[in-house]
Amino acid sequence: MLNQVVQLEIERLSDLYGYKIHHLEEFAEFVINNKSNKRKPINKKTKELKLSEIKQKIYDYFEVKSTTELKKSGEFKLATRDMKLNLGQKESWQTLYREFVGILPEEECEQGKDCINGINIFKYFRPWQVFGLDGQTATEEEIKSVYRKLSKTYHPDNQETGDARIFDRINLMYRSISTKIFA
Amino acid sequence: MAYKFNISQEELAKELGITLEKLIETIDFFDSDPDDEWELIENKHFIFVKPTLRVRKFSELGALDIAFYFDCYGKKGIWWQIREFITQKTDKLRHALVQRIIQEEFYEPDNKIVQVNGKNFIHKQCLRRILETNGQTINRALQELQKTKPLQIESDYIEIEFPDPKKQKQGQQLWFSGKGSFYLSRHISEIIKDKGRKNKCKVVSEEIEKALALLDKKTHKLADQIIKAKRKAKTRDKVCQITLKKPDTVNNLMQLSAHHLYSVNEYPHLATVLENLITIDAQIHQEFHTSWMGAYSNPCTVQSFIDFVTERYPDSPNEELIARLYEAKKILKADR
Repeated sequence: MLNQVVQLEIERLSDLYGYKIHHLEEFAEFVINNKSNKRKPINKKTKELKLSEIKQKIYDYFEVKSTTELKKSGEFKLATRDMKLNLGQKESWQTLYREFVGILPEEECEQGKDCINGINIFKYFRPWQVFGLDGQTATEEEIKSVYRKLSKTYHPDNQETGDARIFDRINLMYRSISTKIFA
Repeated sequence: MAYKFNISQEELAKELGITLEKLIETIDFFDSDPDDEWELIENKHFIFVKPTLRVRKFSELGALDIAFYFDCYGKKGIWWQIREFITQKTDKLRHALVQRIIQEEFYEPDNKIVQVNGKNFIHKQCLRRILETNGQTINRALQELQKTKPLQIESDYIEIEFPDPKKQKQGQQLWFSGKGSFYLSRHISEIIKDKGRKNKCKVVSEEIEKALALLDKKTHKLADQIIKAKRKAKTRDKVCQITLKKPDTVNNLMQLSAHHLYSVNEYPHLATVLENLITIDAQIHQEFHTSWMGAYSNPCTVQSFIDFVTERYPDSPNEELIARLYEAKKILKADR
């Protein structure tokens, strides 16, 4: 028997991607019946990067050898001039990693309320992954279609799955990938 | 090939660690036998800046050839030292050239930088000129970025009209924040093949940062000066100049505001002038900017304030107010 949370999620996925409800129900039951208690969630499996490893990646990106050099780098100062950073804290280095390097290994395929397609949309600005599209080949119609589905799910008027914060963020992503001003 | 002659005799002698006389003696040796391997060619290795005095300026090639001579017959390793000197000199020159373009772009009063939510945004065409590239390359970079790592609207770039559409072309324009400028500049450096221009993109980011930091400093300084001027105006006027009421310091029911007769954004040169400030009830101040002018961002003049007072506060107990406003208009002479 599937609980209400799972049922709602099935409806959301069915709305969003057009999957058949009974297929999703069968899949959910399969997962529940074969679930092992010892198994950890996917994203917990990955080892967290050490601070020194994160720092090294940032140094490489900005072509410097140390934090002192990084602080002096004009490129770094320009790129982070509107960011609030405290380089004494790991959190700030993680923010830099997310912005300039990529997805932190421990945050790959993250799941939760703020996640769409394995991406925490408030930590990362990755519209193509969130929209589940390939930026190189996606057509205007495909972008619009996914946007409509996501909007429908997260619109604040949707009493079951609506979320104003997520809706605004999706809007921002849509505007960033659909603007024609670059043409 | 075009040679740049930017190394003086004095500079070269200093870097070689020899006297000017010794350098001239060496150059004479180079010139003495046209058949030997040591040769300096005019317009390739050097030019005469003062032909009568035979004062020369050297190209990089000229400096390196002289250094090579010393490397063979005396100071081992001097060639590498001169090469490092030239690299640094080229780097300095590159920075200076970019700095000059940025100064020209940023400090011309035609809205190439806008401030939105405390962030500076640079106009796309201004950035293109600083990067010394064409519209095609910049658009290609933006398109490629959009397909791979899209810039974030409102954070990396914004689409707004020029603040003063009378002066510039109308319609939505593209403006880039520091991060947006950095991403664009770095991506262009990946597109272009020329090594010198690649390095220049990095220099551009460094110099834009310096210029923006300077601009921030100026803005903060101006903001501080405006606060001080407003304080002085309140001390001078003491009461609301329309109602002649004192501020309510006990219950905080009425507060005073110092109002700029000519708005700060449109008339920054009058922002700290005491005659341009008048003390009024904070609520009336809000009424003027929102209900009368439409929004705080709409530019106002002393005339708009005179019109406001005449229509909304015709029975103002301050008989001298209108006369004072006309006097301010005469003194400030800011009407266009």
